[in-house]
Amino acid sequence: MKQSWVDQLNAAGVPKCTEVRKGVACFCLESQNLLDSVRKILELEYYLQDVSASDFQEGYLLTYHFAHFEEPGQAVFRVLISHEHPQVPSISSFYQGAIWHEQECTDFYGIEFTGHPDLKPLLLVPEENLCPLRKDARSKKSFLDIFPDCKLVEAPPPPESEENAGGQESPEEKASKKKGSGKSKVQKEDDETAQDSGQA
Amino acid sequence: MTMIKKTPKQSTLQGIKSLFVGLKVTGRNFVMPQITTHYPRKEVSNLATYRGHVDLVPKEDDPMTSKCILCGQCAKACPSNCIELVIRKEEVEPPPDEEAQPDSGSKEEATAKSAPKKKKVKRILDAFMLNYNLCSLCGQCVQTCPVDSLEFSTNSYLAGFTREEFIFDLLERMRNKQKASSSG
Amino acid sequence: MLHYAHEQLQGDYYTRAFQAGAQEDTLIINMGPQHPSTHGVLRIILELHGEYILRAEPVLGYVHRMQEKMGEVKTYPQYLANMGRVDYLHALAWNWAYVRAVEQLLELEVPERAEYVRVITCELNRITSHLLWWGAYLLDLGAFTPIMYGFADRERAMDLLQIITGSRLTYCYYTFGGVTADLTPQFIDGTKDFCKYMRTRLPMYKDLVTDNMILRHRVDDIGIISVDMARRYGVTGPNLRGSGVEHDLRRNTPYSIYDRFDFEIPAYEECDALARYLVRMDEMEQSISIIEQAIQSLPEGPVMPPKMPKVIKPPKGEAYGEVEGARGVIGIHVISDGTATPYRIKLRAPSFSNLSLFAEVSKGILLADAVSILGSLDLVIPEIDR
Ligand code: SF4
Ligand code: SF4
Repeated sequence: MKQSWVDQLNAAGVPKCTEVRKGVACFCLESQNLLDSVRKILELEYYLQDVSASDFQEGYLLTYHFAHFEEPGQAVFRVLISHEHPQVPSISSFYQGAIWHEQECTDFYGIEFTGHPDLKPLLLVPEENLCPLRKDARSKKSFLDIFPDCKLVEAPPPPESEENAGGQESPEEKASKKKGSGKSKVQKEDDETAQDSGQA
Repeated sequence: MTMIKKTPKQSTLQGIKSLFVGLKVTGRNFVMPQITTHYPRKEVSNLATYRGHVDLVPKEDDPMTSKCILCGQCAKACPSNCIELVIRKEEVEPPPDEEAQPDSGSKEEATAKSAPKKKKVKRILDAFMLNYNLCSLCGQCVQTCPVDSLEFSTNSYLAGFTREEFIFDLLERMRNKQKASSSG
Repeated sequence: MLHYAHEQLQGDYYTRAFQAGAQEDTLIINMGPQHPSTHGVLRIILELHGEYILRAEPVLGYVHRMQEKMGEVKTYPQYLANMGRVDYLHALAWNWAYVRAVEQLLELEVPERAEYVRVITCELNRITSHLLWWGAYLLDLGAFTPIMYGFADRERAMDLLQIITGSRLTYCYYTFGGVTADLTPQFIDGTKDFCKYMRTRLPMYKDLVTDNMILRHRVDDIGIISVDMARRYGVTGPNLRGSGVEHDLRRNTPYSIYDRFDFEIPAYEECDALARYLVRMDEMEQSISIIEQAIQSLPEGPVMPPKMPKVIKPPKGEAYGEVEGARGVIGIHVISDGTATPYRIKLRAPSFSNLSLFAEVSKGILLADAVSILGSLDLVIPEIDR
């Protein structure tokens, strides 16, 4: 019996996923766990789709999208870093494609990727430090407000509680995946259920 | 379902043959009729479906006024702010026969309460300015217009030397077009 | 000469940074930003030893327009027009990715006919994109005539798309919930004819170019992209399928109604420029087949959902709209904060990832082969710079 891709990810030791939405598994990581998880997901042969950042009240949210060449499903890594210390380890030693994506995030937000080979401006003029996508205090929104079911923590939490949260959610994950809440077509929901049962 | 194929390999003989096959194709095309159009002696045939800048649509019964109800939604929807409505406010006496209408009774009462002798303000479209320099032909204005007062023109021969030439008054354009069509 | 400041003689920021790592007795040159083979304003700094490339570094940003910032200041429908400008060759795929993301947020249901219309137009657009790539790539390799054939045929497809969309290149045709205009009989008949016509043209292309010995020598065994490398750089689309991976979103996660059609995903295992070339040539044939099937089973009905919200205000949350474009996986990540303006829009451009491996793949190759590799990656610069 083949494991479903979410189980595979969980079994491989990528920290338990905290949210599954229409074929998307979301992992909220802390920056010190990031490299570990990225290495594991590379071992699972996922490819890097993109790295992006966004500005929230709580800090900069880095979003890493991974998908697989053969299997369906998208894995999302989320890392929240504070505005005061916008530092995150670079994943470019595993995924060289991230070099440019990370440079782009530095251009737009001024985030520093530690261990990046060459963090020079990529798209914007090198002479100025513009950071055009930073939001002003008034237009910043709360991260938890937009992603209420994403249990995100900036300070390192006690490890047991996080595991519990993951364990509790796994039955719900499947349910929500089957529902395919965001899909716009009935047709596709059927497909997805078919895929699920085929994999199970 | 699908197979991962191998790229076909070529022997030298096949390679040399391929050169002649290619020459044959070129030779065949050499004697085929020309497919390009020699402008301005000829015109391409697809101009009717060209979607140029927007135009105002006249009312059916009154070709000199547009269907526009001055709601301003098109100007709001436009991503590049190219539309500007120049509206003149004019005070007009309410026409006497309006009072005779039975359904306007309640309205009349309301106006009578708030301002007894207030004249009605009519908004008149003086000009409908389109800055075509900025227009991206996205069609948002046409889609949002509630009364279908905008349409795309098929004006493909548009050229000018200055930016000002591309700032149109669509109302004037519409009237000129109507005049031309009625006289001609 | 005396008027130049010392710094200017040293080149700009990127040249100076590049020069710092140079070896002795090597030549550093700029390829681009105005180079015929870069198809737009892409600049690549090369360090050459004789004819061999030791190091290459693409310099981006010459047509950067900050599309992502624009997304944060415009309303949802207003941003639609931007999509055609990101990738002007496969504009409809970008349209689709964006409307898909917003439809996911709004949980909008797209009428069946609209899905068919989207498939037909998107595939037609894919053919035009591949035709232009075909002509332009061969132009890079020194063959002048193919682009004439390619353009003549592309012209027909663009005339067809003009009938319904009104534009020729930067389409803004899809909208949330459907498409802005229904197909006309003229379009349907024309498309049927076009499919028949293209089926006669593709063998001609094969005779004229694909089998040609000279082309084979320019593309065979050039620019090997292994699967592992593709994974690390996030290469998708025909470039990936040329490395022997049958990854195509139309098959892997069939969006819209792609699961109803019978088509192949061409893939070749050689990982070189020839494999990528052949994938695209085969793909055109598959697109024709999809169009024919879609037209045959085109249902009647509306092309917009009956009830549309007056103001597009998606609920809070995020969505990732993915579509298989002519160059790979197009992804648009929209974060909504519940207002009429997106909170954050991230565009995942396939060419961006595809080009990022150039530094690695071009190590130690001939300069002339670099042109061949660049062309075989099918880059669209506005998409890279966004
Ligand atoms: S087509 Fe688009 S850009 Fe042009 S005027 Fe209308 S809304 Fe504005
Ligand atoms: S949306 Fe239509 S009716 Fe409203 S102002 Fe514009 S043209 Fe006039």
